[in-house]
Amino acid sequence: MAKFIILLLFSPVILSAEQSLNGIIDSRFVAVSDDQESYLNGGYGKFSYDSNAQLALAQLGLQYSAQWENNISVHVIGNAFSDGSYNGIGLTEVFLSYKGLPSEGGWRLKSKAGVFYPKISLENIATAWSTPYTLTSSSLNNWIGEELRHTGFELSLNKLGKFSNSQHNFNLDLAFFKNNDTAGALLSWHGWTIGSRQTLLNEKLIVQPFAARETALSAQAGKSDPFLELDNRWGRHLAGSWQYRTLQFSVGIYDNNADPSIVKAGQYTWDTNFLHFGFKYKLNKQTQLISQYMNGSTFMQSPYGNKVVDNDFSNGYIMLSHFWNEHQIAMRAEEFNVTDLDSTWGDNNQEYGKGLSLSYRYKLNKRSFIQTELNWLQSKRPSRWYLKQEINLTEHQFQVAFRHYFNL
Amino acid sequence: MLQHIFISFFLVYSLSTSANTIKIKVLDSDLSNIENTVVSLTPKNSNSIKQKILSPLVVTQKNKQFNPYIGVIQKGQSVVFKNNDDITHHVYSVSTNNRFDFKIKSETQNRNIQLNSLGEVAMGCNIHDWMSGFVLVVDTPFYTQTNSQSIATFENMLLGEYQLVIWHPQLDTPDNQIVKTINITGNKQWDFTLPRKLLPIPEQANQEEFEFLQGY
Repeated sequence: MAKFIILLLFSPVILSAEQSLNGIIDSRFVAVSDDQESYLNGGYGKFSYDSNAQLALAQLGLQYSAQWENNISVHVIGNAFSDGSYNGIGLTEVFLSYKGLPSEGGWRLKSKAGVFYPKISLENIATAWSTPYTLTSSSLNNWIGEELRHTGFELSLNKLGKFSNSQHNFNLDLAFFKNNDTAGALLSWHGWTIGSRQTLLNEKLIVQPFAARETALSAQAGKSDPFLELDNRWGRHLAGSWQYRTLQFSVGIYDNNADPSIVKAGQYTWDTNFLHFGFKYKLNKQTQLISQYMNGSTFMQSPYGNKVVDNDFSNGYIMLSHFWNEHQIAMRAEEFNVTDLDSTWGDNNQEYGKGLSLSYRYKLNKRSFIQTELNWLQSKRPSRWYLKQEINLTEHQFQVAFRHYFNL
Repeated sequence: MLQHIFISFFLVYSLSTSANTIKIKVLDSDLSNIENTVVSLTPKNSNSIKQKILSPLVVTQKNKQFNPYIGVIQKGQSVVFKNNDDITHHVYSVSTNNRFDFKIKSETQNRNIQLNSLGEVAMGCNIHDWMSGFVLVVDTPFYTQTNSQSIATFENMLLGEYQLVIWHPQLDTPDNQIVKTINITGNKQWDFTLPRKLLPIPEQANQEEFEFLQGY
């Protein structure tokens, strides 16, 4: 394998390309106030770090690109995370991309093929899917990073208004994907969470312990495999955006089109659908408002065809960021909900929560930043009772990070 | 650059040998000044145009912006692109008869691009969509752009009839231009007011202040 990669890197096809390697290193001091176990370790704590985590390599992200003259490029994005208790290293996205040139009227075709993020997040826009505004992604986008990934292809049509003296830009993306049949499992079983941890393509995620795992859901494996194909059906995601001056509005519909009647090797197919909306508005050169909202449903069935887990979910956040000189502050408020619609005993997925985050970033130099953040999160989740914990939980998290963006 | 152009004039028109200063003032519909509007004068007796401007137009990419935003060249004159940014740009033109595209690495200069078709060349960068630049290709060596006072000045003009073209990519008229015939009989200033307000010039800036974006 290594031999093959070395051969490939030095092959004439690769050498004729313009190659780049960008990265982010993000190391942090983390303090979590309560003694909840993190959702990543199978607990019901809403933050990605446990209370015993102190120093963490929050992200070492590498983004390799090779671009050819024919507007085709290949992108490989890898990440490493290490906090002492939930470590991981691997790939998060690998895809080929084509970006055509605009026509005289400003129309442009783009496409992607491989494994890549669905176009939803308005926060995770920086190197290796990091967010520049805060240290954590909102709960809405943290779920995208945890359970969603397209394995397939995407076609995009852009309209650049500037070539027809219009201030309106449009973008339409249509993706067909596989390997996302289990999306929704962890949203159901641990609910919405906040952090900056992305699931690696080679990772499986711990499923929380709850009573029905001994009964109605005994077929579920101890870990959920988030990027798995069970029914050989294509999911689809249609997203559109409209930009006018400094206002960008986006909307999309996601349907993983899973056949909910399958359970194989401990993994169920989850039929997951949602609508998403978002806007980004620059009030002035220094102040920006970002908001996203999502509303959808996920369900899975027993082999006999009755809905075992059936949930509706919704999530919304609004963030205000402002920068001056070397300083940037960001404030984010969010609210989330899961409504349990099934009557399966021992698997209550009901959840409601709200959170506030306050982040301050200081630019040390062009590439390096000190960033600090305070998160407050209050959630009500009856499933905590299965672990003899309080249903209502208020969590606090404080982080100080050194972030450096580099290119090699 | 204009002085440089006109110093080299030694063309003699049969009409006259007297030299005249012509000023063209172009005001927006609300009478505000417009800088960098292209103004060109083509002698009606176009066979008499002999001089060619050889020095290329230099368009730089700095701070992820094209500079100048609007340029003008004589047909056959070349354009040189200089990337003063620390990242690669992918410069392209969408204009059918003057189509080109090339990647230009940081701190490099590309080969000359020869533009042989008349008219507007609308340019962009395929990596940074907010970047926008224009070059107008004209068939006359008598061209310039309005200054901050909205005035385009032509010196040492020979007497005679000329076609005057006023052009700006955001001019809200057919082909973004106004065409008039003027007769130069001596020193003179012509004033023009746009029939409709100039359309908004797109801001060449990314909505994101943060530099290290995914970029794919």
